[in-house]
Amino acid sequence: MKFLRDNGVGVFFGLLFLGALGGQAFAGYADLVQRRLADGGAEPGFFRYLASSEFAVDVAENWQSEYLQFFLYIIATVWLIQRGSPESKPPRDIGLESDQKQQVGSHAGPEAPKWAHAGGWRTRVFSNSLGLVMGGIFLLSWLVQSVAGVSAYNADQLAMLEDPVPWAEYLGTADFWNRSLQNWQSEFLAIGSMAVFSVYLRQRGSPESKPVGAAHSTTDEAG
Amino acid sequence: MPGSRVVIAVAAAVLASGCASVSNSETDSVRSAADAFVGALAKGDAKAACELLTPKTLRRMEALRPEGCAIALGTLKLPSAAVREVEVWGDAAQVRTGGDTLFLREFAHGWRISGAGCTPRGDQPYDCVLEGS
Repeated sequence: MKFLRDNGVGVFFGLLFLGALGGQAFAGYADLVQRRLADGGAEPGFFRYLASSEFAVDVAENWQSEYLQFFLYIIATVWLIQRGSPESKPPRDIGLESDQKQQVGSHAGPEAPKWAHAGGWRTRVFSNSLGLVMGGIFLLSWLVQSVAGVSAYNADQLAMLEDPVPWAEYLGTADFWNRSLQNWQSEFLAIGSMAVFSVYLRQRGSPESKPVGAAHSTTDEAG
Repeated sequence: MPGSRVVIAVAAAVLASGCASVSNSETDSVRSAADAFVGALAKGDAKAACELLTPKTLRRMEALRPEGCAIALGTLKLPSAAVREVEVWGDAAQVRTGGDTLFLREFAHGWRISGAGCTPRGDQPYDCVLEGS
């Protein structure tokens, strides 16, 4: 029970992820069956659908946009602030901040991660590890979207008696950019609006919110 | 970091599924279906060729030509040159023969012809003498 209490956020969202992915698999399969029967193709098996490029591209296009959103948010908020938002730091801290404030090198405490006081490239890598991993997963997911996307796109092209396109050409198609941009716009809207809403609105007890009684002008204070 | 390992493993599996469309066994299955179709045309065995059409292509053919596929197909003079190139994407494929472009779809009982006697029209779909898409 202690494990569940201490890892509630990860466990809760992990279970939601699996439930939603399962739901997407069933809904996506039903949608594909309908489209295949309409265009004169055969009804695919469910497990074959799970290994298909159609399912892969639908999963990957959402993954890449989520990781892009958090990657950009993590990096942009080093230099950009939103005065009054608990998601922002105060103007005096804009930038990478001092080694003392970041507790690196000789300023690292006894319980600091090894690479925080190792110095050199290890401290530089560890200092950027969150952005590197989130950005790396974004690029990998976007690559997967493009590879699965060209496969699904070409299957549709052939079903409509049209020529398939090579991967490099697919990167310039409306299908690829429509899939990417329709996800990006919603992510950017959600994260930008949350930063601004949190200046004026409160959610009692949430670390994503300021304390209910905090002034609208208060920045960098979670409650 | 176990979380990122899971992500990388899933991403690799997804990448593999994207590339699975070009597996050799699929290409061989498409090639043998196309070989059987052009072989039947070359021998004048229209009945065998008709059995290799997708259900929709066959229905369309029989709706347009009341005399039935086996008789009508012989009058279409479809090219019967040998298969040269095969391209497979998911449950659909394109085959270039010496004188034609064929389109195929995959069914439980194998690959079937959904377009034959096809000529390109630029950005438009191919114009096919025989089609079921």
